[in-house]
Amino acid sequence: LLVSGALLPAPQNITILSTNMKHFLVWSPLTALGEAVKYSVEFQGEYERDYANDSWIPIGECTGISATQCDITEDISATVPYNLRVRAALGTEVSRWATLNGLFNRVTTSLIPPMLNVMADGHHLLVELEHLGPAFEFLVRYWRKGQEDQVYEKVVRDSNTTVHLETMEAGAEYCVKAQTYVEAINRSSNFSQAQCVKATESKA
Amino acid sequence: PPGASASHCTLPSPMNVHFVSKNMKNVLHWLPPEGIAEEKVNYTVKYLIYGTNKWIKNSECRNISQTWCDLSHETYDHKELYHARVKAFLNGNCSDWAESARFNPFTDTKIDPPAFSLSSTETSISVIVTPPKKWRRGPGEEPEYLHQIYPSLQYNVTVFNKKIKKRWTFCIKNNSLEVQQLEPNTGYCVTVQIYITPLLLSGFSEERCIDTLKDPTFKQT
Amino acid sequence: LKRLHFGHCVVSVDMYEIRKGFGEIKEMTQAQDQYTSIRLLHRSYSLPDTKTEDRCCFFHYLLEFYLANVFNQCQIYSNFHQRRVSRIANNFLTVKKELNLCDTVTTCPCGKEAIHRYEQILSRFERMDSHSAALKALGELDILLEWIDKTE
Repeated sequence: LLVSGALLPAPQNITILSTNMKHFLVWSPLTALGEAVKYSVEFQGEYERDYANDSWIPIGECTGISATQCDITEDISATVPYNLRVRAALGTEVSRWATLNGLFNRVTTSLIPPMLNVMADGHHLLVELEHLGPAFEFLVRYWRKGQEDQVYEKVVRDSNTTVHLETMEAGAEYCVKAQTYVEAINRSSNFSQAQCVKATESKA
Repeated sequence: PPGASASHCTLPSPMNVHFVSKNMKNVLHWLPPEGIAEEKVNYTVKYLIYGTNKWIKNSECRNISQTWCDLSHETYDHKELYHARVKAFLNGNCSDWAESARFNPFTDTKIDPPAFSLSSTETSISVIVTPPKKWRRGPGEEPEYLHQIYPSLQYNVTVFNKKIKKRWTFCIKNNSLEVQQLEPNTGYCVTVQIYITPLLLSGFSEERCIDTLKDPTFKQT
Repeated sequence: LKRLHFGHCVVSVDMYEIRKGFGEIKEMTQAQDQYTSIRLLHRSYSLPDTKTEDRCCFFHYLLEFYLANVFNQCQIYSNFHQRRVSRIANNFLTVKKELNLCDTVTTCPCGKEAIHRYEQILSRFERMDSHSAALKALGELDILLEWIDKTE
């Protein structure tokens, strides 16, 4: 229990979890002090360091919260290095700021191969892609089985609809795979597993 | 700041003065002053080209009783930005001017869903989208197409197979699409959307349907 | 992204992030601008209409103008507004850093036209008090974004 006058300890183990351009700041709770502890998060972009006297900007949604994580996606909105810090408060006591070890740049986010669902409707090759948000495009590659040397490509914008890829030849089998591409950081994920479907035979 | 209000006007001002813009047909709308019976009030409208200090009267919107004013002519140049303002009059009394937010036709217009035509053969349907145009000042005027104003303009076309209840989406840059290898004697329904950026796109058009023709060689068992 | 080609140098501008950030503060910012008779980014000296060889330098001036004189001069009262300005400012900084990677001496020659156009903007800006001027410039971001969009 906190001896009065002793300073509230700063949060520990501050890390960033960043996947598919969704960025979360997480830290360890001050468990000994129970639920009454509140946390506040601030960020500082390169602009704030270079042009605005190293100022820090509070994240409204993560000011005075009990949770030990904060969604910083909306604020990490440029491809520059960001500084992040957290502090605890218990009643009127506040801890010193604990700053992320090293700067965070969204270019380091991990991009996961997209989930996709490949279908054949008659002679039509279709694909459903995961909805990841406007920052994402999908590079879709497809080929006719047995003609692996002739691969077709289509860039598909983020959407939650069934996208028409190609009109297939009757009875032929086609395979499809896709990767995500984020233009803002100029990076792509690995390709997904290929999925193959067959066009209906043509009518006799 | 400039434009201090006239002291003798004591009527409450019109409310919510704003532009409603579709394909750059720009109409100013407002609500009557609070607590005043709508039908008795008259209004006068002025507009200003941002960056100038001249509030310009609109001859067709002086002492009008309706709560809108078509300023499409006056705001036709979409490289300019505009402000508009409205004053209310009742029984010799008047209100202060009520001003709109700054209006930028290029970014603030809403895009109407496009019109399109459909045709079909036994195994295909063709969609031809009518290239959307900017509002024109008169029928004789040379149309300006939206794809000239927004070069990145594309179309999302959805095709719904009524038999298998499946919907496909096509993204096309030019304004025509032919979908081949379809089932004969089958109903397909189509809608079209204009897509410019994630922040500027139209709604989907009304759905229109067509059947592929019967396959003459196909014998009914 | 919008890609601007200045000679062999290519600079990309994340129009979506900037437009999204600005769209959320546009009405609030422009509503505070009482001086509707002044337009800083006047169409008579727009970026797309600038001579090709002067465009890079004029663009460089505009970036630095916003970074140094606008984003940090606006007295911002709400956390929401502050965070959106930070989003725009850090994206502008990304563009400026890319431009700095180019060999600006050859890619970004500063001819008379670039300097003259920039001075037009600065002189109007300096005739106003700094807070009102910064607020006006911030409110005119939609004009600058249109210039960037239309620059071939």
